[in-house]
Amino acid sequence: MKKLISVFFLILGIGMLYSQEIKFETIEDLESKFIYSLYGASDNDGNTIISYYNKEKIHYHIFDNQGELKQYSNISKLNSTLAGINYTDSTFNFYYEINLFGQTTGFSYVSVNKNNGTIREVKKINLLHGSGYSYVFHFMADNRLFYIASNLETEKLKIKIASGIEEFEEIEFDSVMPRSHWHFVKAKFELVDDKYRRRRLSTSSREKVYYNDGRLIFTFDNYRDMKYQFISITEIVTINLNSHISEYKSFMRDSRVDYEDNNTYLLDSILFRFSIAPNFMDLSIIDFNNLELLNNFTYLKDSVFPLNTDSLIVIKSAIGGERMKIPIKKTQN
Amino acid sequence: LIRKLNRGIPSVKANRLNDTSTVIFLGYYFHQKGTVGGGAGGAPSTYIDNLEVAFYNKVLTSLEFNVSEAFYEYYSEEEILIKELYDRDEKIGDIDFFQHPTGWYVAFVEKDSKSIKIEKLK
Repeated sequence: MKKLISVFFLILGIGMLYSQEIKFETIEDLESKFIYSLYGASDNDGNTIISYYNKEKIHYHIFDNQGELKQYSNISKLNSTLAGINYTDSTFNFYYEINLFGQTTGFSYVSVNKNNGTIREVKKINLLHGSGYSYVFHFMADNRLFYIASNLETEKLKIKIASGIEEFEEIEFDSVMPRSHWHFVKAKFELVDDKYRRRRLSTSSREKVYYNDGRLIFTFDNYRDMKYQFISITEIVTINLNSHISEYKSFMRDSRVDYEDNNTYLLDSILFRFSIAPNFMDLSIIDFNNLELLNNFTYLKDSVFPLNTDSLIVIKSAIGGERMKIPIKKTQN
Repeated sequence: LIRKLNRGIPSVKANRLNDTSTVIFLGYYFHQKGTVGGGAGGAPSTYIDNLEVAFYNKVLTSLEFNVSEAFYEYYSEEEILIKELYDRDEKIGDIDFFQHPTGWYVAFVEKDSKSIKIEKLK
């Protein structure tokens, strides 16, 4: 009973917190209306930072948890792209990419003190240190920066995780890719994260990364064989960052069918796999944990789809409320 | 090769609709004339020619398809919000969304007043 009461008050507390609205002070008197690279971030206590480029500088404004402007500072403009923002107890940290011949070899860190606005800048840290590792991918998740590199000779993966300025954790794994390690290095990953800012949800990438509860999940759809033919297979590499265990598994719908292409999407523990073949399309619904086929739907080319009578499909936003209605026309097939 | 390009690239995205249903978006990306290979998804050389929306009901384990013949942009949720804001006021410049302990907020530049405002998303 005590547990139930605690859960009730916890839910009530979260509900009340979300119903609050902070009235933020307006940042006024900007030097120019041409502001770009505007970013905002908050910490767990509600302290907030706004950064933007204007003229030749990067500006940082810090608000307290009541929305009042508390600190302001700026630095000279950096010619690099912002990779992400995270925070510690005392600072907001900005990570700017350092590129060398198309590879992200490190980051410039700008650390802004929440209390007094002082800035600490650490430039050009090379994360690879000439160790034979090549850059693969980086992303922000869970208030941390993940940087993934691969060593072609030793076939090891290295994952560096930054939780604060110069606070790095490094984990090394043996590669679990059964095919050429190049496949991993050459992949053009797309991070699947609804919170990821400014990203088009193209979802057509055949190489996706999911981050979920300390697990990194890489999915690879299709690959070309020696004759440059597509092999319609879904390969999955899971890396558990807590237990440091990596795992490989693969799924092939039916090797006798000449599928031309396929793509997958992981939602919770269900893998949706959409394939096209010369004369039909197939949607397979797969249990991600054991790769057991739960259901599949196959439609022949030019066949009539079963249609909903509804003329509108309402997409519910994860943020809240109805956001978009898509008009649906009936097919003429 | 031409036949393959004409078929397009399959795309799939899934979203929870409620406790029992999931909506799945199945799209075919086709390349515009004059462009070959690469650049799928969001790049100027590609667009979704045909988006098929499927509802997957976990309870009934059934699937219903709706087929859209019309071309339209496929926005992410953030982009939909951006669009809504632009619809409300075209004088808004750069924009960003961030999560605060009290909910989602949007920061945007008001060009006329040369200021940056922060509002809670309703």
